[in-house]
Amino acid sequence: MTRKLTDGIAGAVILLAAIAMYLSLPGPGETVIAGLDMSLAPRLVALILGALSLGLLVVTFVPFGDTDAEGEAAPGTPHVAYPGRLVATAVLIVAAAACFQWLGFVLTSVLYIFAQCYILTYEAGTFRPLRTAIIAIAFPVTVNLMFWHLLSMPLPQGILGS
Amino acid sequence: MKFRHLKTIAAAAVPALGLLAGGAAMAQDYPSKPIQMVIPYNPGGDTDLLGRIFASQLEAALGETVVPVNMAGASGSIATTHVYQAAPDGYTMLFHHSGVLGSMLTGAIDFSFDDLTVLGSVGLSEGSIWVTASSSPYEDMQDVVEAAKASPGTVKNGINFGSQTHVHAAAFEKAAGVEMHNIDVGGIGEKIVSILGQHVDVSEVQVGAVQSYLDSGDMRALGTPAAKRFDGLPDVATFAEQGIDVEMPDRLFWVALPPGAPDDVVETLKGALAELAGSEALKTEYAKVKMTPYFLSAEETVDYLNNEYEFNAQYKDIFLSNN
Amino acid sequence: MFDVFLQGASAALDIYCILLVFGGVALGIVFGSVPGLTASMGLILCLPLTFTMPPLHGLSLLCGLFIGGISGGLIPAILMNLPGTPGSVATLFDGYPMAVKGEAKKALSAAVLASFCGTLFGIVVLAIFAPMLARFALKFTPFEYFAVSFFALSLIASLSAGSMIKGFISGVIGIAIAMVGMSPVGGIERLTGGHTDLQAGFAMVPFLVGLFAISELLHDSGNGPAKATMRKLGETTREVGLKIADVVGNIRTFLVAATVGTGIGILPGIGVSTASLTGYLAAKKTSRRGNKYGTGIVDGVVASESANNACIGGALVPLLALGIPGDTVASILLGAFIMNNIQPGPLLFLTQGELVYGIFTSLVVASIAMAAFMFLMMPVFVRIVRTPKNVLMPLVVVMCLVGAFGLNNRAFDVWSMVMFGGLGFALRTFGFPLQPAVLGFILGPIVETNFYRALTASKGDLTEFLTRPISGLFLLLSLVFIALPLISALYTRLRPVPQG
Repeated sequence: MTRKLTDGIAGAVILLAAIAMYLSLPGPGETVIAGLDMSLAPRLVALILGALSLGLLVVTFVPFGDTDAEGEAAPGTPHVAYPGRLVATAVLIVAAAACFQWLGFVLTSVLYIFAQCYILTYEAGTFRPLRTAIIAIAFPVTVNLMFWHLLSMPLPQGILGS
Repeated sequence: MKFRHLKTIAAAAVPALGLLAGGAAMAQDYPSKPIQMVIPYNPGGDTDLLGRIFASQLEAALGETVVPVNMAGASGSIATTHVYQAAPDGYTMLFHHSGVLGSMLTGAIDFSFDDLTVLGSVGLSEGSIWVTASSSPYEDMQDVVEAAKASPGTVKNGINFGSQTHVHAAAFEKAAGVEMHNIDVGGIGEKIVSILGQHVDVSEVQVGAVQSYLDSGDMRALGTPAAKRFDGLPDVATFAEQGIDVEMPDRLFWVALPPGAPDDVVETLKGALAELAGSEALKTEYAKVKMTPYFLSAEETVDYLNNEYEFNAQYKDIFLSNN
Repeated sequence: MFDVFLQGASAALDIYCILLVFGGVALGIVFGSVPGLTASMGLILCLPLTFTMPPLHGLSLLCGLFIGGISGGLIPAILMNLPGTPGSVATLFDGYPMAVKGEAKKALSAAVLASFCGTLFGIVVLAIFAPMLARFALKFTPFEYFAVSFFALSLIASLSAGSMIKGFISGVIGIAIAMVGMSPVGGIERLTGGHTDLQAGFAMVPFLVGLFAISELLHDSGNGPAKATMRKLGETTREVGLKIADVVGNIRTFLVAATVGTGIGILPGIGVSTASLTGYLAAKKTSRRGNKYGTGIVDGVVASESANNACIGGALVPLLALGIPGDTVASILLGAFIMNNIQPGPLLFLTQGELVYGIFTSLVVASIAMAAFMFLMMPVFVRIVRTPKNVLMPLVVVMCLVGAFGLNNRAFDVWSMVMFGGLGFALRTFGFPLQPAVLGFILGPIVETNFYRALTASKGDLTEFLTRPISGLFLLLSLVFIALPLISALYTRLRPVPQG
């Protein structure tokens, strides 16, 4: 992917988001309290965001002046070396958030830590299942006990509780 | 931060896993595990402080841990909705006050407090007074009314839009037949700043929050919209005494369980409340935050809140419904 | 006056009291540095303990927690690119790049020294000028709040390394995210799509932690073993320490940032995260090395850490002199005063002089304790980064989950943190800087709230923003700061390309 393409995609996505944001807001005059339109500020922000994303598209695709002068300083084009691990991490963390209340904090964390440690081990043969399992169990249990008994802050117990 | 010692911790903690799977609670031996009491505001505020005091008292009465849990946001609507949707097993409880009525009027919650299993009230706020800076020309509410009548829409009242003070501002305008310039200044801290800095002429505040300013002479009390004068401020006349025919309800603190809580759980908790109503220890603790115990039964609490809702609903056009 | 001071100081220098302060600081550092624990949790935890103590002891303990909590945030900020507390958010900007360069120890030493001096600066200002400054803060109406925060927001351009337009977009995205939920005035639902959970909007901790820490995890897992960086950290940290030249060269940075930090602290309701950001920006704007900020220089760390610690003294000004808490931590402190039957306010300095000076003394003791603990523990902190990252990161993420949940006990905050992790990853992958989004998220609501409040006071008249001197001045400055970079960028772009 070239820098031009990624900037183009980013600009287009943000433009769409700005349009969606504007459309989801109440229209002018619909939310007036004491003579002030309370959704004026967000509408303004949506408009500015739209204008800026248009600006990004313009500077990306319309060649005027020396476009490369700025392009040099900007960070390199997106590059992901291990797309598989990235997707796995993303799925794992979403799963952890989803299971947080249902499975409870301890069970979710045990599974999450174990799996995440595995994903983050890049060199073949260096993954140590027993050590990882011990950490994956001991850490959440300790944290959970600490939160319940020292902080009296209940973490979700999920299916282990009640 | 002691990740290096994980192995040691692990050795100590693994047996503790067994503790977590502790036996399932049966209804008849309620309460058999810690009860979460949801406080709908941030830690440190007046509701939070009272909630924590009440939780520790309830803990003593029930003989089981009561854990205060802060769930702030959207003027209490988030916490109220959370409890409304929680399992009615008696282990999730709501500690709230009259602020719930605002959530109902704005449509932030689409159910009534009455849909919850209301257990009863636990306290009544000491009431509010209207104050001004001591350098202002107003000596009492009649001065304010006269000034507002002389030039409508110029006397500045510092309120919090969409809250109880907004309702009270509207109620005052109607009762006195005047038009004020209502300004959004925010919560109690900002109200004090705006009075002392004279950004506004009058503001409605809780007595306790400004007592030291009344003592120091920085502020002057103009009147109270309560039914009778305060013991601590015998010179501050009520609105009614000053010819403004309105009486504004005080903020009631109450507790509730989710809808459909089992009868035995409700009875246990109501019993605990009844016990606390006569407790000297609770009275001493309440006094620290200048609060008097005020225990109404569930039915009386619902009536009180319904009355207050009726009062607020008269002025509901000041709120812009979200629906 | 002087004998009151002596009485207060000697009461606070009681051995029991000093031990409490040390304990409070140690606990505060733990709460500030462990992701998932916040300073306010620590205060709430210790609040009931203080009821059984004499007022000075209890309050000293809480002040120790306060200082430890604010300072502790610098450890994960520098070592893990993780804002341990929202107040250390600007420490990330230069601290983490320094750590990656192998200068973790230098960054940590500079940050601790800056925190220590910043705290003392704030306390001195508090002790000498509190009643006077409190009176000055009363002059600030929403008009001035709006203008000052808008001015800080206008510095977005200067946080935008690389493409200016991407920096602005990132900033506006931050503002837009902060607008979800109830409108600050009047409570109108916006951008919630009718979901109850969204009514309260997004909290700051999930936003910051997601944006930086979770996106860092995603970035690492997608870009292979970050072990190389980490090994470098472990090996070189011993050699690179803080040099005298670094200290001397940053006296000005410190003075600018600490002044701004204290000033922000004095204004109730703005908060320590804004202090850290604005102090950083102010130092960057006034420094000759300004263009190097964000690349990992000591100046940036010094600026952020001196500003957020100086904010502590500032925040105690309205708390003690007016009885007005500026943020959650301050309101818990206010609660502690009230429970001890002491009402902070105009009479506090007259009727409780001894207590007030005792607290000041304890604050000084606490800052010394903080510096001592931090320097003693530094080898331990540096060792943490030698833990293999594939073990450390999952544990940190679990603590982040706990922290997001523990904030309000809502699974929603956990979700939003994960979502902001995705957003942060997308932004950094597509070359958008993250710092402007933080600025927008933190300052946007302050700007908007005060804009509407001011308009309710002026009945919708916009000219009052310009006719008030302080407000007019700052708005003019903001205009200059927004327009200048735009003009110079346009000029660069439209300039004829040199031939050859």
